[in-house]
Amino acid sequence: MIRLENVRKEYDDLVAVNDLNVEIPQGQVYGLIGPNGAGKTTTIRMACGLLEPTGGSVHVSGINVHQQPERAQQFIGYLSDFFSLYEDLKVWEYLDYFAHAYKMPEAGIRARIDEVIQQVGLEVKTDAMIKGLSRGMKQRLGIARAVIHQPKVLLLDEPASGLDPKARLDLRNLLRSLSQEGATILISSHILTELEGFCTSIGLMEKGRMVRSGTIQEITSTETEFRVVRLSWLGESAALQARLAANPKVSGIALNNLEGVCKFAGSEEDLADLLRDLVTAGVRLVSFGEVKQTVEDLYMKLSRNEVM
Amino acid sequence: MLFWQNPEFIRHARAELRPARAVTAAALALVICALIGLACWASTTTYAQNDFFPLFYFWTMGFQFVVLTFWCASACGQAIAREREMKTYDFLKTTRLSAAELMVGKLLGVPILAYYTVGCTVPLAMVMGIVGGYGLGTIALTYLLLLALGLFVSIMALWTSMQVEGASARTVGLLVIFPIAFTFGFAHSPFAGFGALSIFPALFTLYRVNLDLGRISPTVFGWTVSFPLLTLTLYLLFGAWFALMLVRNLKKEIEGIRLLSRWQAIGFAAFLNLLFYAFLNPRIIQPDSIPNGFQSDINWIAAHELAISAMAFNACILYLIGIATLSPQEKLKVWWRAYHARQAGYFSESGPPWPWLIPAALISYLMLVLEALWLQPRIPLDLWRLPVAAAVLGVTLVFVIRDVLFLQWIGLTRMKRPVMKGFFYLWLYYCAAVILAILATAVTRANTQFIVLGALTPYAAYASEAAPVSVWSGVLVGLVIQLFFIVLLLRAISGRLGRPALVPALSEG
Repeated sequence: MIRLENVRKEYDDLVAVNDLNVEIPQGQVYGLIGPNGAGKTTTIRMACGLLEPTGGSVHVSGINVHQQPERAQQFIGYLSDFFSLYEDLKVWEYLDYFAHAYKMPEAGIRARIDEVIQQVGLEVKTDAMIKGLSRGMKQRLGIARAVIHQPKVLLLDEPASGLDPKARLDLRNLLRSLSQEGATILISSHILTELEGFCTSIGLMEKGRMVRSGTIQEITSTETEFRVVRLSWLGESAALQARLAANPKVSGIALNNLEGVCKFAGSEEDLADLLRDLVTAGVRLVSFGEVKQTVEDLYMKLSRNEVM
Repeated sequence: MLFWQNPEFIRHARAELRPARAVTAAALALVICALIGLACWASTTTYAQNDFFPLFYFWTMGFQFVVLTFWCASACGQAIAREREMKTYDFLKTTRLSAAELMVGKLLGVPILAYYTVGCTVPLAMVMGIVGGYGLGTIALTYLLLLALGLFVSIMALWTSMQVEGASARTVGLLVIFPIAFTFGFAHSPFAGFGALSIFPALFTLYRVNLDLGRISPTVFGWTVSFPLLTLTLYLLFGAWFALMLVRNLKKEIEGIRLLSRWQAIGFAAFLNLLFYAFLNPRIIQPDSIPNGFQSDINWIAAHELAISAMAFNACILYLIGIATLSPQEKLKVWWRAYHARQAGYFSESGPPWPWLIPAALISYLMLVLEALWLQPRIPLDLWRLPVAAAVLGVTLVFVIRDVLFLQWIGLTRMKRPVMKGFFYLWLYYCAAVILAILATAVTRANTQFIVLGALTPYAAYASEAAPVSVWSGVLVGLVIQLFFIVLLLRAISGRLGRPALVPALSEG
């Protein structure tokens, strides 16, 4: 659905995006993460046709975005992080304007506006002037604008900035429902918990290059040589300390008062054996489990240069 | 798509013409008309009562002219720049509206309150005009001219707005009014037709206000044409060029704007030359001396002077198209790589602009030759001194190429607004050359200014008749210096383009 082939962007003498190759199939939600200056915004702006790449090509629904821009735009919905709205219009007028600008069939526009307004929860503000809306409401209206023409592809650059927690949750639900309806979403965000459990794939960008790309599971599994096991117990920890130290697959034992972590370099079956061993040794375990690596952990590793 | 169905037009109409604002604007316009009426009444009761209606009509029309011109220039001047600043323009660019639809929507929608305000006062002005003794046709033509002016000012202001950023946009937009006002002076020149770019000759002719202007009849290839018709035609033709430049660039980032393609630039040069010869009244071209019985109060020009004037006019055209075809930095880099990989030629669309100045200059010279051949029955061909004109054009071309290359090079630097700064540096350079020439003359007490100006500017070539020997020696020295600078600039540009882009190294871990 979205295909970036050898996409490159140069500003003056600097390569901002360097030979990027990404393919996002239909219905996928692809999260783009990386530190500031990684090239996320440039990538999204090239994908939606706002920036012409120095080299390479961008295809959306099989259409070259830069060779047939007006044809491609019918499939693309775009939202940037900081934007303004036409403050001198009413909410419905704003959406009506974009519905016509996207050349939607006249007959369906009114119903679609009502539907989108309901989706973003602005029903009571339909006839209100935009300049009277709060920042969060304006952000929601921006999202409504991006989806008014039912695009197959949504390109969202930090869409949740400025939204309160409730609105963020609503946005997440909206994007999830759009994804379930078949929309392909490319989203960049610094609020990494937003991408967790929502993105089907992620791409880690650094200095204009895609350093990792795939499902969260794929990436975390390639990034970790060992599992982190968190456990808590009751009573003395001496037996626990001894049993863990005796296991050659366990390292980095850090036990505090009734809870601790250790690194485990074995398979899931080996982990099950360790648990049985501890219980057999009389350790009164309250909890025992692998700490799953989150997108945030990955991001932090990236920013500490640990991903390479 | 009809303009009233254009979403961009509808957006502006909705926002600008909300009932409260519309009523206020109409009421305010009518109050101003009433005040104008009172002022006219006060002045005519003292002098001539019969003049009240015409006077009221003219002042109301003047008010409409001011409102429409300044409002259109100001509003359209910031139409795009402000949207860029507000970050709403990106959303417009990602819709399915084509650049042409966007342009039409903005052109008619942005100043809609001005059209509405003027529209509210039109019926009153028309009644005053008819009662004042003017024909309906005259009044209708007046409003057609006013509408054409509004659209022309709007498209020029929109064109400037596309190329500037920030708060200066409105001011720059307002500047478009000045050329329209100043071209009025052309009505008294051998190229009276260019005076039609200003609306005043057309209005003055319609109402026979200015006796002097009433006697002037612009010609197109020797045929007399009325000023109102010529004004409408010129607005249409130049408006079409502005529209072309807008449509090409409206959806581009400001850094990627290139006003015309190479071939369009050559077409534009040919178009301006065509206008030059079309507006030139052939009857005023004379051989070297004033013929017996020639009316001394009519402007006349010798054939060789015209040839040199045409070359000077083409110097401006070459500068214009050179600037209009400057390659954006990124495009030039891409071309450079393709050129070195033998995938693109030197005359490529994205390549350097200077080679394209040569065919434009050749076309301009060819048109001069055609003009000379056309008038050959009356003026012998040798009196045009075509070889001298060719030499002057050649010298001009070298200087223009040097300056265009300088602007192209400066565009490759990391300066902000490089072209504007490039212009400034060139202006400083030419000022310095003039000062140097004045100083040289003062010190040597001879005609050394021609040598200095010949070496540093193309001016001396045009003044070849003033000091033939010293001029051409200066010009030759100048040509050698300029060719050296051209080579230097080409090397500098190559050096910049050849520098490998900096690929940030990935962190080690």
